[in-house]
Amino acid sequence: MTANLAMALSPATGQAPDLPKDDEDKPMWAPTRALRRAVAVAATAAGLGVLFGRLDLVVVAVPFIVGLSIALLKRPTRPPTVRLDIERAINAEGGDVDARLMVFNPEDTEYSSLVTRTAVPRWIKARHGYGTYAATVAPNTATVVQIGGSVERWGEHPIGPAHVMAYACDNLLQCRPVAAPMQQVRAYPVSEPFTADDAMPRAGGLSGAHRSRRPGEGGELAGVRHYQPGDRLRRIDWRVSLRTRELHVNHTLSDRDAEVVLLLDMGADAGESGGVKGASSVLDTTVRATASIADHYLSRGDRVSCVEYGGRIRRLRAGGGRRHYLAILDWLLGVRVWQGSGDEERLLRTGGLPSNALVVMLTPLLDDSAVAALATMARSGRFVVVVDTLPPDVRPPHDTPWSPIAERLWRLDRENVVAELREHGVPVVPWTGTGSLDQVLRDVTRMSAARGAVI
Amino acid sequence: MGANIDYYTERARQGRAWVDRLDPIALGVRVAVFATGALAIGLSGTYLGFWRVTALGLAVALMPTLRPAGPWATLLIVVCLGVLLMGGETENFLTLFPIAALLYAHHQAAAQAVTLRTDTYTPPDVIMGLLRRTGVTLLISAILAAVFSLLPGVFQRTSSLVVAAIGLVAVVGLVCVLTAMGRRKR
Repeated sequence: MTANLAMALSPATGQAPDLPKDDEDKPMWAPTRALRRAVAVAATAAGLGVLFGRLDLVVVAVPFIVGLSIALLKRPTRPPTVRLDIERAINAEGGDVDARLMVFNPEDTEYSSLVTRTAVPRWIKARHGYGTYAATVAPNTATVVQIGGSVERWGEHPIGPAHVMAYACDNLLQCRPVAAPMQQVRAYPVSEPFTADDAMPRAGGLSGAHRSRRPGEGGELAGVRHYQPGDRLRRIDWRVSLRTRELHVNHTLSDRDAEVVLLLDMGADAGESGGVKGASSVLDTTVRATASIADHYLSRGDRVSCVEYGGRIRRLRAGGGRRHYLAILDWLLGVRVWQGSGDEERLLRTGGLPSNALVVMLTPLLDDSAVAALATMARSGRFVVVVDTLPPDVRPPHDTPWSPIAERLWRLDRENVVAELREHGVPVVPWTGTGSLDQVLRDVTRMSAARGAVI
Repeated sequence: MGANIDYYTERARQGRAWVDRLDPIALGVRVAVFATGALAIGLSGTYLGFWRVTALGLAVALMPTLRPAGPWATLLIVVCLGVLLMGGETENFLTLFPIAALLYAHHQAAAQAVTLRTDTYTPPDVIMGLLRRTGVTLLISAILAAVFSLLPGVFQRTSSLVVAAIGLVAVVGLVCVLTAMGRRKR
């Protein structure tokens, strides 16, 4: 474990501890109880031996005197320098994390013991390097503790701080604790496989992957019509023209892109997260589903924006492309559950929800304000799809004999809310990954073609 | 009933996890603290009889093993000095020096045990360094102690009061020097 890394890690590159002002007057290296014990035993045994004329007691004192003299000939004055490095600071959940703690001894004396302890958060499953490690460090060399494991859940996970206790002079002197500041590991959520084959209800931009309902220069055939002045010659359908003896042209629909707003209801959480391989909480489902939906629509050339809705409102501007997908993943790391009712009026007023955008709201439908926001958006003519993020296995705690009945009533009430939303033209679909939104997008598209229809 | 089973199952799981985390070398240091302390008491108090000295040794050596950071290692050495003092002068160097060596080894092991928790991953280098330093100290001490054992013959011609005065001055001076060495800045 010990490596001669004196050249690689100079004392200047290490991070000296931030010492409180009260401790600045105290020496960096202080005597341990062992030093006091050795001096006391040497003095007592030698003193008693001299007083009582007992040479045997003087002999007992000899190893302590010799040991103290040898150990304290050279003593350190400076603290060790400590550095904690993360080798891969950005990762996907389930991926490997490698970090290394480097402790450098800048003195000419050996550290007889060096004890390190690195704090590892819950969602990093450490395979090695966690807990306390001991080592000896030769003069002017460094020792390295490799920390390895895997990230079990998306989010920002701090590794550290790493605390180091150094002992020198045969453990007779102890350095004040030195700490290396914590380092963040960012784990992006894993995108579940998701596709939605159906058309967007309303395309908004000038070019893109979706066919619009407007005629134009696109690739989607809308029909064949009579030739009109201004039509391009290459659009003439010669087969139909020869058959009918009149010039006909292929009539196409223009291609448009669309804006998708992913609205994350973060007013409440439910369920317990078990990490990437375990159960999912509402927060987990919401974040992973958002990553999947964003990935899908961005890969098709649409613009995607995100809004966090709950006790606070947080937005990410609309954008497209791979870089925007990474921006969304970064933005998702900051998603938190903020208890409290959302303000639906403020949500609509601040302009984060364009009227022609497809709004996909990911909500567990546990909060009345989320339902009110959905109703408001539906009334204002927006195309809204609800993705139900409540995990199917979530059960309220059964504390009393009435709990099962209360749970049943709550579930009935929730089904009632879902039915009412559907009556208002807001389809609700549970998140199931691939194809989750196909049916509802078909419904919304049909509805947009004939406003007023009830789904 | 179910809750109790869950509680004991969890306790058993925690116990198993604790046992899995134990480091054999760190545990070995604790064993060394116990063994050296008990043996030092045992050798210094042979005149007390087997059972009494065994009971005393086990009782006094147990606490520094469990709590090496406390004052118990010092207490063990003080008890050992007291037992030696009450037992009359031991003139045989071959009996005396092992006691001194065991006491010093106990002190060293306790100082090392303070730095190591039982679950601290401890590479063999740490223990090899401890053994090397202790060995060198004991080797030099053995030579010095052998020289000291010749002193009664040298001082037979000198008054005991003068010897005591010189010895006291030497002890006070020594303590001052050792304390200064431990506290100096450089």
